[in-house]
Amino acid sequence: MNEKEFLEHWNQEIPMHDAWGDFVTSTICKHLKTNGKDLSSFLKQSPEHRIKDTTSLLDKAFYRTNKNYENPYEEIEDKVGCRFVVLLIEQIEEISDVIVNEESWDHKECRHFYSEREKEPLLFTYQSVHYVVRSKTEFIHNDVLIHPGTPCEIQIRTLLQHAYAELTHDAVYKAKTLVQPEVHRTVAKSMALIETTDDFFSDVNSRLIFDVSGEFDFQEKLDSLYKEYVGFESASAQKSSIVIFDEFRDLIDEDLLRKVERFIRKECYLSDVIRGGVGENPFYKQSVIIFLLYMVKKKKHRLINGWPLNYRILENLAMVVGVSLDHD
Amino acid sequence: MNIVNLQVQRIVIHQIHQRDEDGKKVTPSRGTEFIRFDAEAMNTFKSRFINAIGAESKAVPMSIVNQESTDLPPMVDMLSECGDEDFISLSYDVANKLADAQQRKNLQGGIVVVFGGLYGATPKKFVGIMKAEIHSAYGKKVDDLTSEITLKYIEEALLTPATKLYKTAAFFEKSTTPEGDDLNSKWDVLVSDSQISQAEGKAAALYFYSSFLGCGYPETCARTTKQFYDATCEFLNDIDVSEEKRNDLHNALVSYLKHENSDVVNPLEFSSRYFDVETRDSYSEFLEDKEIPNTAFTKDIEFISGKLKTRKLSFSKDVKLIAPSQVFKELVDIQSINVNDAGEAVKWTKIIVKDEIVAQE
Repeated sequence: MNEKEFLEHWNQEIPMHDAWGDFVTSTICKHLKTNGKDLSSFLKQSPEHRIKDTTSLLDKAFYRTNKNYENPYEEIEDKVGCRFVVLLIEQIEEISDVIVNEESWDHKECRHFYSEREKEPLLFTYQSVHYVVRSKTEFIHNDVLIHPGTPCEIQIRTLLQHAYAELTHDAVYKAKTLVQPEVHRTVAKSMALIETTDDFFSDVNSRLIFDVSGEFDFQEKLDSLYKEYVGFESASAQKSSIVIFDEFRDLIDEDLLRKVERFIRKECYLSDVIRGGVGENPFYKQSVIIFLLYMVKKKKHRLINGWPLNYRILENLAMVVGVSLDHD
Repeated sequence: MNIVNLQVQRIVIHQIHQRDEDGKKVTPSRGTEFIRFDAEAMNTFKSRFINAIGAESKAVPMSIVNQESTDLPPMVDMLSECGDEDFISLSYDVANKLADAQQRKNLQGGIVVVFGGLYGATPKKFVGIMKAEIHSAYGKKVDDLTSEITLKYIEEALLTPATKLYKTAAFFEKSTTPEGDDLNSKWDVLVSDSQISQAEGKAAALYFYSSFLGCGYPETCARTTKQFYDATCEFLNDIDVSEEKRNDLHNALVSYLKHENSDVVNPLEFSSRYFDVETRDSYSEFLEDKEIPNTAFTKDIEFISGKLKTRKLSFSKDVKLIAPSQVFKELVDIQSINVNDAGEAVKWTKIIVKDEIVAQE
């Protein structure tokens, strides 16, 4: 296939690659959503697919010295691609799992920084995970027929890896001008730093998850108590809730939960009080209100001693359940 | 009593004045309209009221003594039922009654707040009366232009929480149906006086609870005092402290009930004096589980005077040590021994009696 034939073929097939890219991206997003991810926060940039720029495609097929393609049209796999950028290393794995387990395509792992780090332990350079997926069967998507074997490249990176790639990929590795050795050195130092930072991020994240897991459970149980006794879903816990759980963390255990439940069951007027307060006081929408009413009634001294929010809120709670805060 | 879901519906104020030089009553100044608080001011007012008479406050339950038609309790009964016009004029009679009761010349005047409404899960009526003395205070003022903060002198302020210049009485309708004409079967009364110090050991100034309110200390206190004593002993025997500390606490309980010159028992005061924060909460919970009031109540040691006379230590093998409580406190030291000379774990007690043996059998 000469350059002209290549170009004609490509122009004809652009809509198919476009549709295939869209299918791949939306399929992955769909699975992530099913797994409970809020895509607007999980993905750090929109994963929209992109068709390779024609000039760059021709350049890659016919002019690059380091690429010796027998059949460039078939062998070039990034004619369409998409990119998933996440915060943490472990989130890359979650996306990889989705790609590897999808039935409608065959996948091939083209590069993975883990294996590259093993191969070249002394090198600090571009890191990313690349997959190429090819459709298994002929099918129609967005009114376009997609041939089996159509490739799409998927890149998955952390935000920091992405920042590195944005800075260097075009400028340093594809630059036609010769790059100074000290620039290479600085860039390598940056990647070393990025890899270190990514590890720290993961470490921090796993500790945070571990720390709140006990409370998280408590929060969920409170949410379900709220639903059961107040009659509708509570609002999601705001920072004020977290500050409160943080302050009284040492009290939180299974036993406390049983006591709180017994309390809300016994003091049945509280359901009405909470329902009545929802309109004027947004605090009453969070399930932490049940915990606080219990505390003000049963553990007043501890509550006053550690109270982390505005005292007026505490006064209001005490007034509702008729407990005096007066003390010398 | 559970004072939850408090809804204040009507508030009227009048002003009473200090007696003149000759000790004659000065006619109170009359308020003619209901006070309309905005939401925030109303919440603050309710907070003051709950702080004075709510659970774990210093308020003391009292019983109604004077029930003639000119006495205050029947007036309260009427206040709870009457229409708005009558409420305003009856509340002025209340103020007048307080002015009458303030016989001594040095007693300050103040604002009398008469208010009523509903409380409780299945709403019942309540009537509250507050006498708040007027004092001077400062208000913060911020200059709009320079943001500079200055103080504005307020000559007449009232109900500021820290000054505690107010007395409160509250009549809560009972959830049971009243029997006969006795107002005690219809109303629970709580009285709180922030101007009476704990040391004086009274629930409230006599002129306030007796001459004005027509109430007195209830008669059932001997039972409550005994329950308090028994429950607190049980609690002390159960908490995780050293035997030395436990002994101190038992001594403290005896002193609190026997030697303190006070007419009231306040579990909260006892616990804040002797327990740390965590223990205070579990003590309150413990008393509540045993249905012992967590508000103050009148002291009557009739049923426990025998117990308070002596302190007794009992051991598992019938060894007993008995001493008059004052002597026990002064002359007996105890100490736990957890390891014997051979290094084995034991549960022994070392007792030092700072006295000589005068007889043996």
